[in-house]
Amino acid sequence: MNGPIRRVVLVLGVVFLVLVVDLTYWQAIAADRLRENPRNPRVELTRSGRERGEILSADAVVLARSVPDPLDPGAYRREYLYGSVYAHVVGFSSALFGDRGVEAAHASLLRSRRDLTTSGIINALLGDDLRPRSIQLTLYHELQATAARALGDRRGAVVALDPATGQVLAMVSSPSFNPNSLVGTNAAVVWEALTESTDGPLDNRAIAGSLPELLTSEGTITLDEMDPLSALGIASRVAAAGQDGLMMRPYLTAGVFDADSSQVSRTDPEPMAETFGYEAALSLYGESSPVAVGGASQDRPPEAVGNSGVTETGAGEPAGWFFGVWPATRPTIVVAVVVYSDGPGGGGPSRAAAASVGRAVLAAWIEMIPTSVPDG
Amino acid sequence: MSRPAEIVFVCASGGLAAFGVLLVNLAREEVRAMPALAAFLVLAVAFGLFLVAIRAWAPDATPLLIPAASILAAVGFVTIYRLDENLASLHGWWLLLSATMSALWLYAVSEKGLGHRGGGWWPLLALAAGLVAIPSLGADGGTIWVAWRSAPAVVLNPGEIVKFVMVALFAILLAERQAFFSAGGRYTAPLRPARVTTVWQSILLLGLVLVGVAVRDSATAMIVVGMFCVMAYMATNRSAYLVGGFGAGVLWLVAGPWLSEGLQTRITVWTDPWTQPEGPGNRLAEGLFGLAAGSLSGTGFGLGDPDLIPESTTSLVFAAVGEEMGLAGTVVVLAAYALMVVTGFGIALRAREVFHKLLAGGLSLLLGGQAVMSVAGVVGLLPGTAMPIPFLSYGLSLTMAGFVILAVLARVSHEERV
Repeated sequence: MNGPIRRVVLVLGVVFLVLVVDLTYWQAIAADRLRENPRNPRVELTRSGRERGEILSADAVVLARSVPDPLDPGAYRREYLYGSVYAHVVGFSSALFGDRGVEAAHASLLRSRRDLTTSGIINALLGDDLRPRSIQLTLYHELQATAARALGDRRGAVVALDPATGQVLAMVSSPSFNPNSLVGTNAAVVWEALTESTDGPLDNRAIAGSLPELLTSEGTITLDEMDPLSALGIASRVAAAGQDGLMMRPYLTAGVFDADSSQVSRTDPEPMAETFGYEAALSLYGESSPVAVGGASQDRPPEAVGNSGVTETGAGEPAGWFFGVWPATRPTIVVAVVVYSDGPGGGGPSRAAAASVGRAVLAAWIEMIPTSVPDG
Repeated sequence: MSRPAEIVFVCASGGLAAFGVLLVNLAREEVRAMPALAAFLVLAVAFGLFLVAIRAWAPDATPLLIPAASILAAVGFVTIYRLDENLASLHGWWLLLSATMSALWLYAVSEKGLGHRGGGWWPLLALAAGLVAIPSLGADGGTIWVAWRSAPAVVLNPGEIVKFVMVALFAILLAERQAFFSAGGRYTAPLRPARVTTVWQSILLLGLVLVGVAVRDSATAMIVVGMFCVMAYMATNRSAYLVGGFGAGVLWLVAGPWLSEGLQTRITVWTDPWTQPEGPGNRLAEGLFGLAAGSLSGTGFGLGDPDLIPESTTSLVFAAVGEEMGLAGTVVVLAAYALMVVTGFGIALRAREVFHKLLAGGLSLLLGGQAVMSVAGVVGLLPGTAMPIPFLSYGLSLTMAGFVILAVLARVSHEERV
């Protein structure tokens, strides 16, 4: 009788070993993959409470940061310091509604890698810095704030570009929303109102699409999908027209910094391979006339030139548009404005409104010039 | 291992439970001494009582059984406490009650010794039949336990006790049959002896499968059938029983889905957990997510999210342990079971009487088989077999069965050395 009992023990022993091997597979080898699985309910839970890196403007103004959650010890909550001004660019990181904008495009950089995954433990042992990284954008806070203020509650968009590099200096879309309301209490109610609104506050009118799809992980924008008559489409083509057809790829991310504020990587300007739609912009550019800019003074004559009009956009909606460049020779800024309606829900496309918004942005840039000159 | 070492282990498991409970409360930013003290007392008193009973009524038993069981009970208690404090306080009472019951059983058999001819074992048959019948009377199809309406957590899961009773029954049956072979001619039926046993076993096997399907607790039925086949193999050394058991398992997998919708769902989930609907129904994926969250060293007590795992205090408790204690914890749990099972089989190998060999071997197999099938169900090696594990999961019937198995093994071990 002892023979069969011994064989049963042997088989059970082998089964125990198989289980240990299988557990090692699931808990060590496949663990990282399972932790990232979008169906894993922990993915959303950990994301909402984890510390994320800061998002800064080009002039080092903090736009988004993680602060300790007073309601949940050890957890963090995301804070968007200028709310609706950067809503479409910075976007938001929500446990319930996903990520948008830069928060989505750079989710893996902004996330803390300080956790108990196998790779996390190994990297920590190797001395890697696992703290979340911060991202500096190409937007200038003063320019962005001016653009948002000038556009007000009109339905439209503003984009300012550095024509020499393709850096996006300002990008505003209206109507906007407050991303803070999507990470706080009542977020579900706010989300429902935003998604059901006929004004489309979540749409980024500056690129006539949503940022996550157009913004690549390198921080550049894929122009081939961009509506040529969106504010960014106009700005980049006018910028090309002013430089004999050399179109720079527009980008939003200036660089990535680690927790000790030393630079990890930076985005280099890059010319576009194709410059479609450039001829049309060239003729409009040729018809430009001087634009009176409020910020001009004795020292800085109003050298801005620009053009405006009313056109049917790609989306089938007529828009009043304006573009202006400053200075007229070797410009440092191209501003494009699109206004679909001159007020919330009322008024038609307005060329005058577009022009006045554009002039205000140009004036703000001229005011800023002594303190901050964009490199490149 | 000596007796003092056993006492040290029992105290250590109490300390482990207290430390774990303290950590759970610390993770909630609370410092509470009372729950930790209560956890220590529950573990120390339950296993201390059991230890005293063994020293009194089975003093020559091997000392290797209690340490592993007490460590498992401590890990289980902390995990249950972490998930549901009220359930843990109930579970504490179940541990104390089960220890008391097994101590009383040790006292009861201490006079006459453990034998199968006294007749005292046969009422077990009636008990088993009655227990199997209870859930099938319930209105809710698929329910395999009986719950009191006023206290939904206090449930009686007859399947756990049925398994134990069935093992004892098989041990009696097979021991009798060996006696019958050696004595010869005692049963003077017109049929030839071999025929009698073959027919008898076939009917029993078929009956068990049908009962299992009827109560929709196919996992328990499967274990009972498997137990019979392996125990018959142990008794006779005829591998035909193993082939038969394997065939029954395959038949269960093939035919089961037509008979039970629940089993069909489980098999569908098993074949591809990643495309099946999320949520509590997809126990395999949710359990694996828990294990993966624990990774190597676990999130720490109170710091993971095992409450996202369905049935995390019962069937999938192993995944909850894996989440907060990591691979380190799950391997320790498996090692503790392996130690108990090997000790149990060692008792069977050394036992002198056939009945004792079969009883110890069968109960060790039941303990190990249930642990192995539960873990295999959690990691997806077997379909839909994630089931409660003795000592680790919450449950009165389960804990009671675990303690009684320990008591029987200790008594067999004691008698083999007298």
